[in-house]
Amino acid sequence: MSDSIRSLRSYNPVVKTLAPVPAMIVVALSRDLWTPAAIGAIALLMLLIGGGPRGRTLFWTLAGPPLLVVLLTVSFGVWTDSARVGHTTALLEIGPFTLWSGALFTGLATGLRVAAVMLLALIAGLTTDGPDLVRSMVAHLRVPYRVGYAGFAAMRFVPRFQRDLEIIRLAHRVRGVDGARGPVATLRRYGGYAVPLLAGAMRHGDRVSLAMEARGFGAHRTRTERRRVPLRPRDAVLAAWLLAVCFVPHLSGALG
Amino acid sequence: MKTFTTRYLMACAAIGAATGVLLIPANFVGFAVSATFPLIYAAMAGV
Repeated sequence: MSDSIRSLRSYNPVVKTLAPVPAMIVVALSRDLWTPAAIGAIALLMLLIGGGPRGRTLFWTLAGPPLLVVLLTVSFGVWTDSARVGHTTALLEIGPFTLWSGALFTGLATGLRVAAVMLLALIAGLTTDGPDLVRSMVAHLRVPYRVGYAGFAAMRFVPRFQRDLEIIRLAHRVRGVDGARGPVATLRRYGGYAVPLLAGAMRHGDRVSLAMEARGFGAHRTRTERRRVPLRPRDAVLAAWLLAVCFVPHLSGALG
Repeated sequence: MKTFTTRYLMACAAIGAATGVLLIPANFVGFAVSATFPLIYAAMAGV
């Protein structure tokens, strides 16, 4: 893990997860274009400078938000109730359908809000290791370590259950269970996968809990960790910066 | 927290992880549908 102050990976995972929440609330409650656009741009810059994304991650970090904004703008342009935006300019008329400028504005504002919240969430999402987040929650948020370790276990279960699902899927296919196509058949097929997968998952959870208790897990109130995730002054600076970002909307008034 | 046995916690973890694995395709479909056809997404969320 890089310990450079510029790398977001070197900051405390709990701070990275919780500090953007006030900015997310400000973005979600905003109704103008400036607030989500400015906060989203700041979050994107932080990700590009501090996250160091590469390859496909870099491509989707840069291309994903604009694509989402365009998609939501067009989608809202089509779906917004015309009675609510009928007083705005009609941009296009195709038969009974009219595209109103007010509908596009609503879509653009919504798209920017969704993209900004997504980018703020990615600050932690792209730069945090799951087990480190759990360790930090146990150490700094006083989450009971037994609950934290259930979170650890859940992360470790995922690849195993993906393999189990693949085996169940192949077994159903060999037996020719519901080979039909279409969304309804797919739903029914997945319903058929759910029962054996969940039954196997609970059996595995049982075995893991027995193995953990056999090794003395949960015998003591506290537990020491081999790997520590410290809280440092740089985390306070990051939290203060992300709180300061909440005041960006007021800048538009100050700048006139 | 003592009332939650390890078996109970691991069962919760297993159910959560298995449900998540099952719903991975639904998340992709849901994201695309919510952005393009919000009314269909409402029905999907209801189901």
